[in-house]
Amino acid sequence: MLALQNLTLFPETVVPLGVGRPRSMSAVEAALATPEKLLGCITVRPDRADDTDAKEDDLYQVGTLVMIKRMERSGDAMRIVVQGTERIRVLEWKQQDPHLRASVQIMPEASTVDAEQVEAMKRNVQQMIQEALALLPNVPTEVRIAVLGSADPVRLAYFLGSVLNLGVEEEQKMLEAETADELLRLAHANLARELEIMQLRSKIASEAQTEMDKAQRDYVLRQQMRAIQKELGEDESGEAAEAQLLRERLEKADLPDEVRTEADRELKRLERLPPAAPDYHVIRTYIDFILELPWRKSSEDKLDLNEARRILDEDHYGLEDVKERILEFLAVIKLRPDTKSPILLFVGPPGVGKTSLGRSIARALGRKFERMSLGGVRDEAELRGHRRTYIGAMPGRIIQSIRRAEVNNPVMMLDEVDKLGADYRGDPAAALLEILDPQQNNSFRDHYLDLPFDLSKIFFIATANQLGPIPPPLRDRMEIIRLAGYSDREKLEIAKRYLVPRQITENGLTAGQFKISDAALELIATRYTREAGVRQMERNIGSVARKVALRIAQGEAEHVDVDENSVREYLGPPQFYPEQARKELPAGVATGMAWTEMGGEVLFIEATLLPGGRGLTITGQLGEVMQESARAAQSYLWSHAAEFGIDPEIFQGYGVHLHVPAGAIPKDGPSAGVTITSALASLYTGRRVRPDTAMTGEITLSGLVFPIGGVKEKVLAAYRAGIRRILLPTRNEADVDDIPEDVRKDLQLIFVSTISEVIEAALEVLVANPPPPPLPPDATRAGRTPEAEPLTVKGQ
Amino acid sequence: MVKIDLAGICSDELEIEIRDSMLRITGCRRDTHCRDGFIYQQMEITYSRFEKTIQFPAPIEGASLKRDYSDGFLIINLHRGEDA
Repeated sequence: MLALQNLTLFPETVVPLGVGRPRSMSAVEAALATPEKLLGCITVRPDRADDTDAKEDDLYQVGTLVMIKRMERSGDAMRIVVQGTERIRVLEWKQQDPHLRASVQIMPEASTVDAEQVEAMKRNVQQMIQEALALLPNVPTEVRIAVLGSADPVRLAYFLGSVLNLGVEEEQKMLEAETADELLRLAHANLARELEIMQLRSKIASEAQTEMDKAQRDYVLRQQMRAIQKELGEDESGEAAEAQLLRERLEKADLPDEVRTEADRELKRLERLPPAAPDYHVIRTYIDFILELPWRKSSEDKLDLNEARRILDEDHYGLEDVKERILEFLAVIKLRPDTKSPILLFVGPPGVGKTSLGRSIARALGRKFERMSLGGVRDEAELRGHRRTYIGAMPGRIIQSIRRAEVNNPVMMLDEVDKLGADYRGDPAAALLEILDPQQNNSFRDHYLDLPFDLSKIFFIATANQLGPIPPPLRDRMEIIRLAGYSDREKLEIAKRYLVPRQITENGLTAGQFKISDAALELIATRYTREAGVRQMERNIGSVARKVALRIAQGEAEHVDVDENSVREYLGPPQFYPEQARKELPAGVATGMAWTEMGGEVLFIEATLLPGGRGLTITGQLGEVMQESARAAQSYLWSHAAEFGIDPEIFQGYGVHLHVPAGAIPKDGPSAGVTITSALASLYTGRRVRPDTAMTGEITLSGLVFPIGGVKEKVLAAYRAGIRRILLPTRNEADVDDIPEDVRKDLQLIFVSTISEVIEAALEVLVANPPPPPLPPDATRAGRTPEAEPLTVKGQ
Repeated sequence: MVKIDLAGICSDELEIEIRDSMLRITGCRRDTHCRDGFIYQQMEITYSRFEKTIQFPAPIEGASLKRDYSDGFLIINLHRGEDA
């Protein structure tokens, strides 16, 4: 008997075996010494398999009787070829040494119980074998025929058992199967499992194959494409030519040393990369960008001051002080060409010509003009760029504008700096600090470029509607030039010189076809628009011009002269009724002036006594500052009651209601202090405020008048309203120069520095409406009680 | 004629059987030299029982059969019968 490890032999199968152990070799030799050459083979239980010789109970009971067909020796081992013949069952172990010996019983062939079922399973198994063979391309045809042609289901099952490599336990089960039914069932189950594994394996293999094929196909296509391009003469071996081209441009370019070193380094990296590498295009774009920047290219400045003045005058009417400031800067540049360019900030309402003034400066200087709007910019990277590590990184707007300008000294307009945003991504205003600092901006580093660029030659002009939102450090870096609104007279001039001719051209008319009278323009300026600038006015002139164009195009007229009446006809009824000076003011009402983003306005402050009331009621959407100045005014008058001839009892017996129309518009600021004081003083004394007088100024509790802003706008507004007598703080005297001469000569300006002076100048001397006598405190309460009743009834 | 390489066979034990179109030859090759204590260095010859089946294209039943065993070859002569 031969003990087998990890292997079960089946009848009817031929298997080569290696025999190495002395006991096994002894068994083989003993078998060969018989005429039949028969050997019993029995398998060691898998859980007992080890290096020692197997004992009786380590072995299965059922094995196979085999015939040794061949034997040869190689060194100390033997190789034998055996053919299974019968199944055997061990009856009794006779001997352990020198080899195993046992008496066995030959087992009958597996019997068939249900022939039909066996046949069905056989066919099924054959079907599966066919499938399995399809997955194994290298099986010889003879084997296929042998397997599929086999008519005996039992032989087929044994063959499968030996081929499938199932493991000892499964194999032994098949060997021990008593009936063909069970044998085939086992064979079927095992084959099915193996087939599944094979299919899975083949699927994995074919997927890997597909992937490989795709890569290979791409490669081939790419090669073909290259060949085609070469045929078309489109690239002389592609990337090499491109790099060569860049290198030539690099050599010709006038670059600072540091930039050249960096560009060289990037170019070397580019040459090493295949063009399909993702970095390739990033680097190429970067080098391209470096080459396109005007590192040392400047435009020549035109420094003829007379010419500059002529250009400025030609483009803009009025704005004398602004033009003067600009000419001063030009003069400095002329005398000292290496001087740092100034950084200007134009502040003013919309439509007054801030942007076009920047354009004129560029024209006067002969420089390129680049404009960028900063309104709503929230991201610092927008100005300073993204680092090149990011996908889709781009340089910031500053550097991009310079590239567009193609020179390093353009006039760069930063529009709407007061409308910069800021969020968690950073504060663009902080980036502007560096850009606008003449000490630092000669080596500005854009994140994308990562090389220092000299911004100091750029003439920066920022514009804003309001100074307030601009951070103080930023404000500090710029020369602030205020552009106040235009007076109606200036608007008329601007309309005649610029707006009308422009609208004539834009609407396809000629100067002969469209004439508009001064009175008509004035009407448009005062009754159809309310603005500091001229934008709406231009729109209105434009719509008049369009209507005229329509008439001419329809052949109704050869040419049209527009006067006041036809303006009403074309534009409809007037849109605005300016707050006119009231002919007569009751006691407790005073005329004030306010500054708005659209220019100035006149407003009235109304106060009234409330018998039996308490304290100060304030209405009209007034801000905290304005409310506080109202309280200060009342306190001042109370504490100085005797001086102004006011009965102190009145402060206790009556409350005061202060109202500022129009009630829907929020108002704030300290400059109404003087007006509120006048209104209250008038209320308490019964002396009316002079209706021809408007006033402005901040007050203190000690009775001083402080200066305020926006003098020009306010005075112009009062002038428009027909007021000719104006009270201003003494310390605003210097601002009067801003007021156009033609307006100023009509005005009577009174400068005041204390509240006493204000009251003296503003109030009429006569007591027109004497204030009611103060009520005794008890009477106050008695008077109030009955009034409370109807209110509760109303509530129900 | 069928010629088969069959050396070392006792010709008395050869059985030849014809069924339909099949010719079946069975027999046994015995190792006549072996005895107790005999050890092989190498064994190239397959002993023991064997069986060979030859399939013909047409039925051969009824054909006359003549066999001859000499020099290790078995030669079988088949003659077409009257009714084949």
